[in-house]
Amino acid sequence: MEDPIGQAAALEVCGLRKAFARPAVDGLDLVVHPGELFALLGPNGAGKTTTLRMVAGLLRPDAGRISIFGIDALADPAAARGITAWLPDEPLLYDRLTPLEYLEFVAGLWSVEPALARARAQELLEFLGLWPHRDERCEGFSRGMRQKTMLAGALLHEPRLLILDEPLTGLDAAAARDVKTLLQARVRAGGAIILTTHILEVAERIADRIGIIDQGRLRAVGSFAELQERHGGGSCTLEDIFLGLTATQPA
Amino acid sequence: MTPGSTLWLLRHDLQLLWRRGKQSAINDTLRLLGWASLAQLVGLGAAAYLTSLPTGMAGEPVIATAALVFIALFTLATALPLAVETLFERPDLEWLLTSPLPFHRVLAARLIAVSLRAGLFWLLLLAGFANAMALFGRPAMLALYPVALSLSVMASCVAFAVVVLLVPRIGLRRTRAISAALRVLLGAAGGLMGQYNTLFSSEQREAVWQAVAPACCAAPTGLSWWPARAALGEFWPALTLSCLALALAWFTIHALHRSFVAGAGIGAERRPAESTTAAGLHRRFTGGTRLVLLRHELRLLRRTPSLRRYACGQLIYLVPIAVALWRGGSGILITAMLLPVYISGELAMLFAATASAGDEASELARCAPMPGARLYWGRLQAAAAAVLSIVAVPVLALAAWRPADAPLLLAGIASLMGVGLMVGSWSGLPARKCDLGAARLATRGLHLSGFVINLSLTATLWLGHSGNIWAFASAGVAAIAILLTWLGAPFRLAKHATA
Repeated sequence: MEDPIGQAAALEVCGLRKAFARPAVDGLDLVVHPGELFALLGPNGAGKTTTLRMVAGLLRPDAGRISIFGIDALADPAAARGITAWLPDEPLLYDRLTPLEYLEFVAGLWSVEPALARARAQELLEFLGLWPHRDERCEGFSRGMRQKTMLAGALLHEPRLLILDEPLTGLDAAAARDVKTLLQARVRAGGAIILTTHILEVAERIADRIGIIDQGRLRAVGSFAELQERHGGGSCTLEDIFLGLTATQPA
Repeated sequence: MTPGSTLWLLRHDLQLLWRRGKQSAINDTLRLLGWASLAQLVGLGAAAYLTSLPTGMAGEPVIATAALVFIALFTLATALPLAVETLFERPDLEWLLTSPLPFHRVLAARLIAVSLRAGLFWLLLLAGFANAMALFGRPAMLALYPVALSLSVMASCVAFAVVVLLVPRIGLRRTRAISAALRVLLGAAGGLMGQYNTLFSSEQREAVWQAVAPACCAAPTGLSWWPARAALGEFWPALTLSCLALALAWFTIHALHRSFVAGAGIGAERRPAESTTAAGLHRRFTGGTRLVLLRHELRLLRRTPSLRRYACGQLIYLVPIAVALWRGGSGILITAMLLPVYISGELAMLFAATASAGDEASELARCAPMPGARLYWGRLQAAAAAVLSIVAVPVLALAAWRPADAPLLLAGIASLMGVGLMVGSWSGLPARKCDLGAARLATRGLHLSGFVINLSLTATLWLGHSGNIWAFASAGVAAIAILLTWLGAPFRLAKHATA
């Protein structure tokens, strides 16, 4: 699928299905455009993380198609992984590595040119306030510091598509603002971001478009204004829309 | 049991210390009973042998003292890491410290729990022996019960003191590293005591005996002989030792509980590290993907205390062999040659298993555009490099000393390392680099198959070297063990994947 200006969609998901004991994702269709921040919202167990893990190549879908900037992610996963980055909700780091050593490893995995990797690492660590901690092992880091270290790793190779699962959970206000600024800069630079969050205000404020998923199916998608227009009216909040869409669906 | 009492806390601590796997309480009890029965059998054998010897052995106090020192060293070596874990690494630490429970009660419960856990092995073994000696007509030997418990309590007190005093001063990570190093040294000291006959010539042993025998056999009344006399069943020494242990425990609890709280507060704090300079930064991010991967894996292996401890523990075995060779014992040359071969196989298997299955951030590598095969080989190369860096010195020394036997030595190391790397990479065990010790139950299968494979392959080399036909049988055992491990690998991998 191509977007209105003829560029391949950043992410195109068609008929995606995945079942464990019961269907987790059930025929999901989704498009994220380049230069767009897309927020995927849904109650616990709605299938958000499963969707993102399939997009990141960590789970094989039972059916469906995933295309990342025109690359078939199921047919050529290595090429797709080369231009994406995945940030899980649980910040799993190497406790015995320092942030610099972690970024060094990430640069090696993505074959980033050394000089560029060095400069990017310093820039990201400085921006995220981790430069003074660059040589401390991650084992003593707070959740926020771990999350920021992982985010630096995710951004090091300048991915075109960022897949973020609850990136703001556990961050303090200042750290959350840094992360939001970084994400918005990435979007302005032409990258695309798909993220999940339970903080509806974040989605309302920074997302270009919002998708609401429940029981593995996309219930609504559009900008906040479009969702307001379709599902409530001018005065309703995203919370009203979200609760209205997710509470009334049949089990 | 009143909630909040020392006994209640003790039960909680024992549950945490004892239940290392997902086993039920019944399995735990059966396991304990099994070990106790085995210890009883061993004790019966040992007691039957000792009572068959001529009575009135002159060296009994010396042997008893040596045994007690040996046991104390091993108990202390076990208690040190347990103290670090129990005092500062439990997720329930802050919960307990913010509760209205008195701190000394928490410390007391933990001290008793660690004493029981650290001394359990020796307690079972000595209990079996004491029971058997009582059956054979020496009921006084039942004094070994309080003696074993007292030793365990005293060793745990020392371990607690070391840990509690170190953590506020040097931080948790360094304390963990020091306790691991002390554990290796104490274990090695105990192990070397067991090699007394190999390490010392008959003249040296005779000189030692002449030095201690008069004091021991003529009148073993000095204070230094009291522990031995307690172990041999004398009432007052046994009672004194027990009281001493209780007093030391009381003193430890009351003297250390404030430091314990202080340490708990700062245990997780980060200490400022030396910062990378611009030149230092320039040295980073160099080399290709292979080199980065190799460096990364070697770094993680090197920074894993349990692996360091294990590797050192293996190398300690080489010390008595080296001493014997130095003293001109060419009769053990083949043992000297085969021991590094065996150790290489053991380490290769463990390192390969840890590198391939112990990725703490496995999703990162899985999301990378790097082919899985390159990652796999990179990890095996790192494991091989780590093993070679450990065994290089003894192997090169042996090869230089006996160039004619060097091809056998090198071929043996290459083959055992190859098999070790292969089998280790099949493991798929949920081992974590950060604490392989905690995954001990999970790695038990690997250790068992590794032991059988390495032993049979080493035996093949040994038998083959002397032209013995049984080398084929030994090779067959190795092949069957490798096959069985390979057949079991998919099952374990699947189990791990669904965990």
